[in-house]
Amino acid sequence: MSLALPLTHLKAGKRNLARLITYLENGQAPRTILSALDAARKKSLLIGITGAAGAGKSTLSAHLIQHLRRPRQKIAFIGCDPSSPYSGGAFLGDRVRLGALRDENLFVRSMATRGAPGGIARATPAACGALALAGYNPIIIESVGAGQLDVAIKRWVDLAVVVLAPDHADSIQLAKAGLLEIADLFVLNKMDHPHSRRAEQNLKSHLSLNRNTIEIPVFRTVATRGSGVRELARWIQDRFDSQ
Amino acid sequence: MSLRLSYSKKRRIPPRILVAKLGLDGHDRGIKIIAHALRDAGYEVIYTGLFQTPEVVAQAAVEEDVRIVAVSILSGAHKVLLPKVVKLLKKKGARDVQVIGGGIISAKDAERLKKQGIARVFGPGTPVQEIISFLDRELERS
Repeated sequence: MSLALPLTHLKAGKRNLARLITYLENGQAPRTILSALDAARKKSLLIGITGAAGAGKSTLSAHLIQHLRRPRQKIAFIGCDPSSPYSGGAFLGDRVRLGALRDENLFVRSMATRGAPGGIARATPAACGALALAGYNPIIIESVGAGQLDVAIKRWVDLAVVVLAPDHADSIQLAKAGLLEIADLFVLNKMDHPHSRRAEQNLKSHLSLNRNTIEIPVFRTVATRGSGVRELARWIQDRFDSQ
Repeated sequence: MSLRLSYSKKRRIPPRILVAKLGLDGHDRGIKIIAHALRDAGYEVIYTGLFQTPEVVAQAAVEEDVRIVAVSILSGAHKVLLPKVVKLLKKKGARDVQVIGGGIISAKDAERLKKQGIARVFGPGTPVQEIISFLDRELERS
């Protein structure tokens, strides 16, 4: 099998786009197409959502999709989940949190990492290029439940959002290098949790140690209720609409 | 079980499958067991979550580019909901996507569903291996 699909047909419907992403995942796309997709990726705003398993990335993304989009705007979501090191299979569950979000202008794709290190699939960047070429903008990429070393997403996105739950934000953990360093902004989720105030203080005091002069914003959310997401979406729109 | 750490060397392509719960039916034990078994059999299993509509499931099947959609229904609404998924897939140009069903479905209903384009119906007590073997065979053919 190889790719017999002109890139110009991508806007014609979701079937072609979905099939192209399959070819990309399977490593069946020719080099010329890969370089075209590489260039196309810059057309769209890429937002990376990362953080530990269970921090609330998918739930947050579901609300973010609703707040970020404007009427008739095409928006895409790629959710990554880990492949089994034993069977090669995967359980891809990011759609569950998206619930009944469904319309012609939303494209959702689940991707297994298939052994790629770093928190996203090998084909994720190229898939973003395909989505961008088909007119989807912005594109939200969700990493697997990330560990301290899962920083691959940073290289590809315009905005890296690190989602923290209160239990993950003690002062020693926050001092560690890796995942927490790549944040362009933090979302402190589960703010209805009893430890949330202390977590917020820990995070702010940690950020005050940054020698970097760019201030890293912290948004507080309760993603299950969608509270705080509107403010986050507005910040993203303000920052990127002016560019 | 052996740990296959070298994905890149031997690039077997994992088959993708969508598993879905349709309608007002909160019984997800069965579908979770199937999903887990398929994961361990090397499938990439995309799960929709509970309470989905035929429209959501058909759109998900297209976006995820799966060959097979496995729907679990224990509410008794299979006669209405399963044919709807088949119809919507056709409408979206995805005729090659097979729909299979599982749940409390009588032999008479299963026969009728077959005529309406549902590839196979599995009832309670079906060994998981039987389902996996069926899927493996179907995917080999397509």
